[in-house]
Amino acid sequence: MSKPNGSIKRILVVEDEASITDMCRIVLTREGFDVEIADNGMVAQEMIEKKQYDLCLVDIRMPKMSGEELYLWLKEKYPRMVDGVIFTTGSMIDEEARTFLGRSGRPLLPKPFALRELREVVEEALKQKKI
Amino acid sequence: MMAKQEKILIVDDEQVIRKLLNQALSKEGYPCQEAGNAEEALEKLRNDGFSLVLLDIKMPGKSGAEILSEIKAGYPDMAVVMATAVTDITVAIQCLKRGADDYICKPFNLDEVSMVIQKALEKRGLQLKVREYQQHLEEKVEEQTEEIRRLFLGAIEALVVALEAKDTYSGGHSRRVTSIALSLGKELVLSPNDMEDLRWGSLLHDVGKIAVDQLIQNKPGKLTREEYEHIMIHPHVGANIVQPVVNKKVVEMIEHHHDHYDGSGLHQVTAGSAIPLGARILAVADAYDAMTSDRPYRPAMSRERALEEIKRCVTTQFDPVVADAFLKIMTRNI
Repeated sequence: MSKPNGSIKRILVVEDEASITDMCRIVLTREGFDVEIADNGMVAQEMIEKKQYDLCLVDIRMPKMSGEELYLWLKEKYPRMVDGVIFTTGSMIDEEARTFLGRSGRPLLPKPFALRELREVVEEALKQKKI
Repeated sequence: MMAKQEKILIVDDEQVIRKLLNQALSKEGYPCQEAGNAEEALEKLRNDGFSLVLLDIKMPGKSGAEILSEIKAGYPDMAVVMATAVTDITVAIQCLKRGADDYICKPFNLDEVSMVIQKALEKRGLQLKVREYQQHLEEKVEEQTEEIRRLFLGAIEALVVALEAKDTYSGGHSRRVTSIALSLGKELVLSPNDMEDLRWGSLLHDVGKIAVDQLIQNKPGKLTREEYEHIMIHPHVGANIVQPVVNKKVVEMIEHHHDHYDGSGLHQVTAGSAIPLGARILAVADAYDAMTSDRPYRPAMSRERALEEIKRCVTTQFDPVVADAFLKIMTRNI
């Protein structure tokens, strides 16, 4: 597994909505991150098995594999990465997902989000990771 | 008896009956023709404009009942009266269900025949009138809508012209931007609805400048950070102004028309293809027209320099797809 370069942080965006991945890629790249995209959970798993990521932006609702499933998989196989997970979600989220989010204790970024919110949540998550 | 407009086709395999009906109906003033079987009837219907078919149910070969659906499908406005023997009433009723207007029983009472036919033709006439009326009404509504839209657009244009008249440098800017934006929309194959939104968005993109201080807007020197921020309130103000009169897409187009593709613009909340396409189109059209017009702080740039500048800002300020389409149009129009 290749390790991320010490100075450049690597972010994996797991998301099926093109305009959102586009926005994340453009903005986070400009912020100096190395940004990679997976448009579903299965692709994300393959990528995570090959590379290490500092942060993982995960959409809760995705076809094929939910954000929750991906999170549980990470928890089991790559527990150190769990601290780098940021969830994103559209307006509709059911009680079950809400409970799961609360239990996971990971930050949630509701869609559509503003650039500032994206930058802040990413910055905050990196800070938390260092501690 | 006065000659009538509606032509009748009499379809019966018995010549005697055809003759009898022909005579009776001709006397009533209807131009009549006869057909001895289904094929002949269909042939005559194809070649001549009839209003009503008097159709015998039982005929050798294809029966009248059989060709009824065919006639109704091919000539929906045709009135059809079935002729039947008293013993076949059930078949006649089935025919009514399948679109025949009425039936007459053999042996005929000629007065009754004439009455049934008159009734069927009257019904047909009414149906045609209702349809014509509806069509006319639709046309009328469409005409009126178009007229209202035209007036509305005219009023908005007048407002924009008035606004631009206040400013020495932006005369005709919105109209030129509209024209560039629409050719870009065409190049990017937008739908007619999106084109219409784009027209409104580009015409109205700068109405928010009404809230911008004239001294700052026409300042000859370089703007301070504060002054620039002040001018940049115009997309947001503009979106608020037009919000009650245009749809959401147009409002968003105006709100985001100064967004940079890479998210680096002032107060920007979104980036990349999350910026509405109309706003990305406007960004290029607006920038090009601004660069090639005189400004208080600089004379107009040449077309070549402006195009170079657009190329330089692809992916940072401008959407590469839109900028590419723009450069393509401009090279074509040399």
